Amino acid sequence: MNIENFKPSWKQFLQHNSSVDISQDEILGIIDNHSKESLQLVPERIFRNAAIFCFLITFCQNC
Amino acid sequence: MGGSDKLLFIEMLKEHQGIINSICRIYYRDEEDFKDARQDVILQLWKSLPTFRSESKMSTWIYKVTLNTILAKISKEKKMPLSESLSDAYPYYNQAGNFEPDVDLQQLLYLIHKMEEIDKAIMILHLEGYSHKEIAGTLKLTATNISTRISRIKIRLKETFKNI
Repeated sequence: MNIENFKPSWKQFLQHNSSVDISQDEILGIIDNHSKESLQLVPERIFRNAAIFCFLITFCQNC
Repeated sequence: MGGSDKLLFIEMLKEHQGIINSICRIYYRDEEDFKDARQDVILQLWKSLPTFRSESKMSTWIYKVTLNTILAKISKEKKMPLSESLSDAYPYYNQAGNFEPDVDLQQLLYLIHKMEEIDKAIMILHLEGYSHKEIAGTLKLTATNISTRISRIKIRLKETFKNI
Protein backbone atom coordinates (compact mmCIF):
# COMPACT_ATOMS: atom_id res chain seq x y z
CA MET A 1 0.00 0.00 0.00
CA ASN A 2 1.43 3.35 -1.10
CA ILE A 3 0.51 6.64 0.58
CA GLU A 4 0.07 8.27 -2.85
CA ASN A 5 -2.76 5.81 -3.63
CA PHE A 6 -4.90 7.66 -1.08
CA LYS A 7 -4.85 10.98 -2.97
CA PRO A 8 -8.07 10.24 -4.93
CA SER A 9 -9.78 9.19 -1.67
CA TRP A 10 -8.76 12.47 -0.03
CA LYS A 11 -10.18 14.36 -3.02
CA GLN A 12 -13.42 12.38 -2.60
CA PHE A 13 -13.52 13.30 1.11
CA LEU A 14 -12.94 16.99 0.30
CA GLN A 15 -15.60 16.95 -2.39
CA HIS A 16 -18.15 15.39 -0.08
CA ASN A 17 -17.42 17.94 2.65
CA SER A 18 -17.69 20.79 0.13
CA SER A 19 -21.39 20.01 -0.05
CA VAL A 20 -21.79 20.51 3.73
CA ASP A 21 -22.87 24.15 3.72
CA ILE A 22 -21.58 26.77 6.15
CA SER A 23 -24.53 29.17 6.20
CA GLN A 24 -24.16 32.92 5.81
CA ASP A 25 -26.08 33.40 9.10
CA GLU A 26 -23.61 31.16 10.96
CA ILE A 27 -20.62 33.09 9.60
CA LEU A 28 -22.15 36.50 10.33
CA GLY A 29 -23.20 35.35 13.83
CA ILE A 30 -19.61 34.33 14.64
CA ILE A 31 -17.91 37.49 13.36
CA ASP A 32 -20.55 39.88 14.73
CA ASN A 33 -20.35 38.31 18.21
CA HIS A 34 -16.60 38.69 18.10
CA SER A 35 -16.89 42.38 17.12
CA LYS A 36 -19.34 43.02 19.99
CA GLU A 37 -17.09 41.27 22.52
CA SER A 38 -14.08 43.29 21.31
CA LEU A 39 -16.02 46.56 21.67
CA GLN A 40 -17.09 45.63 25.21
CA LEU A 41 -13.46 45.08 26.17
CA VAL A 42 -12.36 48.60 25.12
CA PRO A 43 -14.04 50.56 28.01
CA GLU A 44 -12.87 47.87 30.47
CA ARG A 45 -9.27 48.32 29.33
CA ILE A 46 -9.50 52.13 29.47
CA PHE A 47 -10.94 51.98 33.01
CA ARG A 48 -8.26 49.53 34.20
CA ASN A 49 -5.42 51.58 32.71
CA ALA A 50 -6.88 54.81 34.19
CA ALA A 51 -7.08 53.17 37.63
CA ILE A 52 -3.44 52.00 37.42
CA PHE A 53 -2.36 55.48 36.24
CA CYS A 54 -4.21 57.19 39.16
CA PHE A 55 -2.65 54.75 41.64
CA LEU A 56 0.84 55.42 40.32
CA ILE A 57 0.35 59.22 40.31
CA THR A 58 -1.04 59.18 43.88
CA PHE A 59 1.24 56.71 45.63
CA CYS A 60 4.41 56.38 43.60
CA GLN A 61 5.40 60.00 42.90
CA ASN A 62 8.56 59.82 45.01
CA CYS A 63 9.62 56.31 43.90
CA MET B 1 -13.50 45.61 8.86
CA GLY B 2 -16.61 46.74 6.97
CA GLY B 3 -19.64 45.20 5.29
CA SER B 4 -17.87 44.58 1.99
CA ASP B 5 -15.09 42.72 3.84
CA LYS B 6 -17.72 40.52 5.46
CA LEU B 7 -19.29 39.69 2.10
CA LEU B 8 -15.89 38.86 0.59
CA PHE B 9 -15.08 36.74 3.64
CA ILE B 10 -18.37 34.81 3.31
CA GLU B 11 -17.70 34.24 -0.40
CA MET B 12 -14.18 33.02 0.36
CA LEU B 13 -15.44 30.62 3.08
CA LYS B 14 -18.13 29.22 0.80
CA GLU B 15 -15.54 28.57 -1.89
CA HIS B 16 -13.25 26.72 0.53
CA GLN B 17 -15.77 25.16 2.94
CA GLY B 18 -14.65 21.68 1.83
CA ILE B 19 -11.19 22.24 3.36
CA ILE B 20 -12.58 23.60 6.65
CA ASN B 21 -15.25 20.87 7.00
CA SER B 22 -12.81 18.07 6.08
CA ILE B 23 -10.16 19.12 8.61
CA CYS B 24 -12.70 19.63 11.39
CA ARG B 25 -14.27 16.22 10.62
CA ILE B 26 -10.89 14.50 10.68
CA TYR B 27 -10.19 15.81 14.18
CA TYR B 28 -13.71 15.84 15.66
CA ARG B 29 -16.16 13.00 15.06
CA ASP B 30 -18.83 14.20 17.50
CA GLU B 31 -21.21 16.59 15.71
CA GLU B 32 -21.22 19.21 18.50
CA ASP B 33 -17.42 19.15 18.82
CA PHE B 34 -17.19 19.42 15.04
CA LYS B 35 -19.40 22.53 15.03
CA ASP B 36 -17.45 24.11 17.93
CA ALA B 37 -14.17 23.51 16.11
CA ARG B 38 -15.54 24.94 12.87
CA GLN B 39 -16.73 28.04 14.75
CA ASP B 40 -13.24 28.53 16.24
CA VAL B 41 -11.69 28.12 12.79
CA ILE B 42 -14.06 30.65 11.17
CA LEU B 43 -13.34 33.19 13.93
CA GLN B 44 -9.58 32.67 13.62
CA LEU B 45 -9.77 33.04 9.82
CA TRP B 46 -11.69 36.31 10.29
CA LYS B 47 -9.16 37.63 12.83
CA SER B 48 -6.23 36.57 10.63
CA LEU B 49 -7.68 37.95 7.40
CA PRO B 50 -5.61 41.20 7.53
CA THR B 51 -2.43 39.07 7.63
CA PHE B 52 -3.31 37.21 4.40
CA ARG B 53 -0.79 38.04 1.69
CA SER B 54 -2.10 37.75 -1.84
CA GLU B 55 1.20 36.26 -3.11
CA SER B 56 0.26 32.94 -1.47
CA LYS B 57 -2.74 30.87 -2.53
CA MET B 58 -5.92 31.41 -0.53
CA SER B 59 -6.32 27.63 -0.05
CA THR B 60 -2.77 27.37 1.38
CA TRP B 61 -3.53 30.14 3.88
CA ILE B 62 -6.81 28.42 4.85
CA TYR B 63 -5.01 25.10 5.43
CA LYS B 64 -2.43 26.89 7.58
CA VAL B 65 -4.90 28.81 9.77
CA THR B 66 -7.33 25.88 10.07
CA LEU B 67 -4.73 23.27 11.02
CA ASN B 68 -2.92 25.54 13.48
CA THR B 69 -6.22 26.57 15.11
CA ILE B 70 -7.30 22.93 15.51
CA LEU B 71 -3.89 21.81 16.82
CA ALA B 72 -3.86 24.67 19.36
CA LYS B 73 -7.43 23.81 20.42
CA ILE B 74 -6.55 20.13 20.90
CA SER B 75 -3.44 21.01 22.82
CA LYS B 76 -5.60 23.12 25.18
CA GLU B 77 -8.24 20.42 25.55
CA LYS B 78 -5.73 17.55 25.82
CA LYS B 79 -8.28 15.51 23.88
CA MET B 80 -7.03 12.48 21.96
CA PRO B 81 -9.98 11.01 20.06
CA LEU B 82 -8.35 7.77 18.82
CA SER B 83 -10.30 5.10 16.99
CA GLU B 84 -9.63 1.44 17.56
CA SER B 85 -11.44 -0.17 14.67
CA LEU B 86 -12.26 0.49 11.07
CA SER B 87 -15.97 0.95 11.85
CA ASP B 88 -15.13 3.43 14.66
CA ALA B 89 -13.12 5.52 12.25
CA TYR B 90 -15.92 6.71 10.04
CA PRO B 91 -19.41 6.57 11.64
CA TYR B 92 -19.55 10.41 11.70
CA TYR B 93 -19.11 10.34 7.99
CA ASN B 94 -22.49 8.71 7.47
CA GLN B 95 -24.14 11.26 9.79
CA ALA B 96 -23.32 14.02 7.33
CA GLY B 97 -25.52 12.51 4.63
CA ASN B 98 -26.32 9.30 2.85
CA PHE B 99 -22.85 9.12 1.36
CA GLU B 100 -21.14 5.74 1.79
CA PRO B 101 -17.35 5.97 1.65
CA ASP B 102 -15.66 3.40 -0.57
CA VAL B 103 -13.10 0.94 0.79
CA ASP B 104 -10.09 3.14 -0.02
CA LEU B 105 -11.61 6.10 1.80
CA GLN B 106 -12.52 3.92 4.79
CA GLN B 107 -8.91 2.74 4.93
CA LEU B 108 -7.62 6.29 4.67
CA LEU B 109 -9.88 7.47 7.51
CA TYR B 110 -8.86 4.48 9.60
CA LEU B 111 -5.19 5.23 9.03
CA ILE B 112 -5.59 8.94 9.83
CA HIS B 113 -7.55 8.26 13.01
CA LYS B 114 -4.76 6.02 14.31
CA MET B 115 -2.24 8.85 13.92
CA GLU B 116 -0.93 11.43 16.37
CA GLU B 117 -2.56 14.85 15.92
CA ILE B 118 0.46 16.45 14.24
CA ASP B 119 0.86 13.47 11.89
CA LYS B 120 -2.77 13.86 10.81
CA ALA B 121 -1.98 17.45 9.76
CA ILE B 122 1.16 16.31 7.90
CA MET B 123 -0.78 13.54 6.14
CA ILE B 124 -3.53 15.98 5.04
CA LEU B 125 -0.99 18.44 3.61
CA HIS B 126 0.96 15.61 1.94
CA LEU B 127 -2.22 14.30 0.29
CA GLU B 128 -2.86 17.84 -0.94
CA GLY B 129 0.48 17.70 -2.72
CA TYR B 130 2.46 20.18 -0.60
CA SER B 131 6.25 19.73 -0.46
CA HIS B 132 8.03 18.89 2.80
CA LYS B 133 9.34 22.47 2.94
CA GLU B 134 5.82 23.90 2.50
CA ILE B 135 4.41 21.57 5.15
CA ALA B 136 7.21 22.59 7.50
CA GLY B 137 6.37 26.28 6.93
CA THR B 138 2.67 25.70 7.52
CA LEU B 139 3.09 23.71 10.75
CA LYS B 140 6.12 25.62 12.04
CA LEU B 141 8.35 22.52 12.03
CA THR B 142 11.60 21.76 10.21
CA ALA B 143 11.68 20.06 6.78
CA THR B 144 13.85 17.29 8.29
CA ASN B 145 11.23 16.66 10.95
CA ILE B 146 8.54 16.42 8.26
CA SER B 147 10.61 13.95 6.19
CA THR B 148 11.19 11.76 9.25
CA ARG B 149 7.52 11.79 10.19
CA ILE B 150 6.39 10.98 6.63
CA SER B 151 8.83 8.04 6.51
CA ARG B 152 7.34 6.77 9.80
CA ILE B 153 3.81 7.21 8.43
CA LYS B 154 4.75 5.14 5.37
CA ILE B 155 6.19 2.36 7.56
CA ARG B 156 3.08 2.39 9.78
CA LEU B 157 0.90 2.31 6.68
CA LYS B 158 2.59 -0.87 5.47
CA GLU B 159 2.33 -2.48 8.94
CA THR B 160 -1.33 -1.49 9.38
CA PHE B 161 -2.51 -2.92 6.08
CA LYS B 162 -0.40 -6.04 6.46
CA ASN B 163 -2.54 -6.87 9.52
CA ILE B 164 -5.95 -6.27 7.87
